[in-house]
Amino acid sequence: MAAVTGRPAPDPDRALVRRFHGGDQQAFVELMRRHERRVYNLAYRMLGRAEDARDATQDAFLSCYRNLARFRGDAAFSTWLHRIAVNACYDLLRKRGPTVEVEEDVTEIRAPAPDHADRAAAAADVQRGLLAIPPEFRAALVMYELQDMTIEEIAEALEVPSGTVKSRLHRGRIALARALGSGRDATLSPSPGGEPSPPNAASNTPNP
Amino acid sequence: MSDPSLTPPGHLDELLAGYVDGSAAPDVRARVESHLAGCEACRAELDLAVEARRALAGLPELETPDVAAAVARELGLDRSGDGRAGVAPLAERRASNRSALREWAGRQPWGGWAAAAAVFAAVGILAGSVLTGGGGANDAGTALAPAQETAAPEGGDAGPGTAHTTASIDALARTLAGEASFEGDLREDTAAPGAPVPAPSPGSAETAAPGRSSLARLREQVEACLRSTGNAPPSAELMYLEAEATFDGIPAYVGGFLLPREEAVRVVVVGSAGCAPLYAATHPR
Repeated sequence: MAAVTGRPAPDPDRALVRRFHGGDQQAFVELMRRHERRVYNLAYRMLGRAEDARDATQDAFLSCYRNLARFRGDAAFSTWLHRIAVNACYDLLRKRGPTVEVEEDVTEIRAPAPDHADRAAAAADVQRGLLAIPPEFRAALVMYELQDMTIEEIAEALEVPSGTVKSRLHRGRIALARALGSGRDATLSPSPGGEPSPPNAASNTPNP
Repeated sequence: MSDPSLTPPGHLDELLAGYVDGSAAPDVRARVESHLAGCEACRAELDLAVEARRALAGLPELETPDVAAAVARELGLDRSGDGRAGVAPLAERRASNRSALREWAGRQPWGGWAAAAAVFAAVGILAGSVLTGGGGANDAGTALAPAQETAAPEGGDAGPGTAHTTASIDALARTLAGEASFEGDLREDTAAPGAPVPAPSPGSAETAAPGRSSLARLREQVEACLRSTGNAPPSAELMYLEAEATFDGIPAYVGGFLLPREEAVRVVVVGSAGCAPLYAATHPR
């Protein structure tokens, strides 16, 4: 799916961050506008509910604003923002608890197709599947499959080695397929990689 | 298992991940394939992974509410005046940092944010009166940085988001000092048993630490910044906090400290982008 950002030669984010550091507060508004769609979509897929996604997006931007003065550009701004956003989602998940009703009537960007209702129901199923797998797997999957981030960017955003990202992607895909009700693998023995770690927020967080 | 490099389970996961999404290099693909030929479990996993990718590919990108505008308003960065279309103001949010901060403030010995806001609303009309009596090491109303007077939009609103000026901070210091006296003898509690003791570790604060909420980190950062900028000793109790105010139009944190030695209240204002000192006012209890 979408959100392909192309490859802009000079990074506009970098210039905006410089402007902000120089005292131009409006540069932050511009940064938010540039990223709100991606952050919101990430949050929605992590949380499964529009209201929560909006809360997490707002929390992420507020946190970003408070910390931007200390951001020195070691990572790309968007990667850093994704880290903040994912952490905002984890915080919200902790507060909210694991269960949630997935909405089917979220607004898509594309115009509704004739089979819109079926597609919406299918999307809601997939979203439910996403919510059923550990948040660490979910974050990696969403960033890679839906946000078009590279393994390296995800590693930086999640503060884990890139090998861990790949491993989470693989385990996450399998967990998702199982959650989506693929009964035919039920008799299979546990995977060579072992079972995924429990969906425990603490286990996801970063290396020292 | 003819290829020893494929044996560590974690490593195998990584290789399979790249194999499924096509990012693996040709030589890796060849090694994975030779492993797959003899490993039914891995073949089954691959099928599942492909299925999951197909499912995810069907997810649409979603229309985004205008969060940026809401946050800009919240931070006082909203130039265009209005623009409330369709987005709930942050004040209405269920789980905002702000309400949680207020919740935290509510646990403070002095009585917290709601009371502070109410008190502040009461004294807002006194803005402009001159503060007398420094009483402590710092003179009252010492401007730490040039601050020009600008018209505060819609005066009289209280609580978070307040548009402060030098006059309103002076008034706040006076009010908090009165409140501190009213609470009884606070000198005995200057160690602030009820207040969470911040243990700020400056370098590590940026990135998430396990098990700690971003709110707690934020509060610690804000307090540490206010404390150091305002020369408030560790024994000074933080009795008042506004995380999302403005001062002469600049997004700011406002903190009120009860200074045990001076028996005074010092209100400190710093820029929320970078902790720059903006203003401080001290008033004796």
